[in-house]
Amino acid sequence: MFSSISNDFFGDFKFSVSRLRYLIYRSLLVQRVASRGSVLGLLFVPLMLIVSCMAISAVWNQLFGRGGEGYWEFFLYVYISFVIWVYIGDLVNGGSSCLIRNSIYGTTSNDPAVLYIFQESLNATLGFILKLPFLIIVFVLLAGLPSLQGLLLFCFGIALIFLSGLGFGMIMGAYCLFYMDLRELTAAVMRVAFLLTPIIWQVERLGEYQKYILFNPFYSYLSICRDSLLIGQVGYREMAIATVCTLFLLLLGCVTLARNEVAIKKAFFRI
Amino acid sequence: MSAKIVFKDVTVSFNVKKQASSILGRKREPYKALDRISFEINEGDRVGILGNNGAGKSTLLRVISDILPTDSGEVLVTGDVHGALSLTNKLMAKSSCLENIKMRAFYYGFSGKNARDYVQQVRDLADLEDFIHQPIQTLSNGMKSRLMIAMFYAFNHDIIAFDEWVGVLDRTQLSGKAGLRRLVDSAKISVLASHNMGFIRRYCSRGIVLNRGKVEFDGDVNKAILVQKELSV
Repeated sequence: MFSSISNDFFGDFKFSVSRLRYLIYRSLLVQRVASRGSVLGLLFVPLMLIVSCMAISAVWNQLFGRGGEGYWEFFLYVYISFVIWVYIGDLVNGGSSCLIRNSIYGTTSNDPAVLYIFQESLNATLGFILKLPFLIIVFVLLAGLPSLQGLLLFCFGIALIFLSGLGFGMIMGAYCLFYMDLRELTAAVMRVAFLLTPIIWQVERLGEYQKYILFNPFYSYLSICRDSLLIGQVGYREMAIATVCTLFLLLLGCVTLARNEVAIKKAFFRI
Repeated sequence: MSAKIVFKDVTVSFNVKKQASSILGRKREPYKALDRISFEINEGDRVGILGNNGAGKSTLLRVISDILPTDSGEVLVTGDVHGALSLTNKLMAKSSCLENIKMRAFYYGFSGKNARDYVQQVRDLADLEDFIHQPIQTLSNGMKSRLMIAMFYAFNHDIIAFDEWVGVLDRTQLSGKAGLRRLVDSAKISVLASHNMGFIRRYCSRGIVLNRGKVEFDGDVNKAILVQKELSV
């Protein structure tokens, strides 16, 4: 029963969570469709990531005048960073454009906006999970077995990234639908953020400016996941910043969607 | 719980482009798709929505299906409503029929044996075994509609709202085991929008004629068809 559009964000949220099986299955189909026609299938993207990281590591090692010294350590650093960064990038770019891309469904289906955002976050997460076996194999081959504490911290970091991506999607998904320029702006910011975040360079290279890296929130998320594997522990400041950012994004995301539910439904018909 | 649809003075408007887009922006003007319309549909009603293009038929179905918000007025819908507004609603074009049926089972909240039963029932009803592993995008419109109807039928909805796409159905799809007749009869309320008068006459007992967003006529389906024919001239 409803009067005009039902405006029940928590009901919609509950509905979306209860459709987790549907969302996971749909994400699996999306991944399968994306790799259809490729000889390597689902292995293609994770393998290509390893190849590109090896090439980047080789070039960077030469540029920094280190020759072949420390190549595999640097490769591992770059590879872990890239896997995490690709996940963050998929969540951010996917979340910000998901309502625009699903607007055609929005005009013929009464699914809540939060369902589309869940769908996008799970697509990105499944893409990340498919890369995990390769990450584990490469890590074990080059650095041995990670510590239990490191693994738990890694899982915590990934959970923070997922929840932040969900919150970010709820905020930017809605605002990109209202102001389409924001989608391009987000993509541009992510390109700049890639260079400003220590992915293909190490934070020690900043020297005396190292303390300013904490103003880049991407660094904290990346640092939790990367350091937990590489050194088995995480800085408390990075942990605090990432946790606070996650809670803030989730809260703001819920408020944004709850307040704009009707406006989002109308915006689907305006595009 | 009995199914019911009540519209009281419902108005829906869109901002439509009256000019081609320019680099600096798009000028939009409000257009009333539904203009203070009121009616009541009770359990057992089979209602045909008639009207020329742009009369507000699809908008009306979207409001019933909880897809489109209203500007003013009150909408009261009691019961689980399913808006069958598009031929490929929620289907993944590049995935197979079977994958889409499974996905729909999960969407409806089925799991384990219930999901398997749903998939089997849809397979039996749709009768598309030769194409069950084919991607949806390779099927004809008739096959897609047979699949859609089977998926709707296997999950009992209280209220079903159909848009124009039912016009692609052939004779077997109308009266066969996954036929529209069974689907229409299975729902507590069916609302069908179509330009096909014979189709509306066959499936509906009541007709609502819309003209420029207003209710021109609401009553017996045969009289409604006459009113619509006059409007079409």
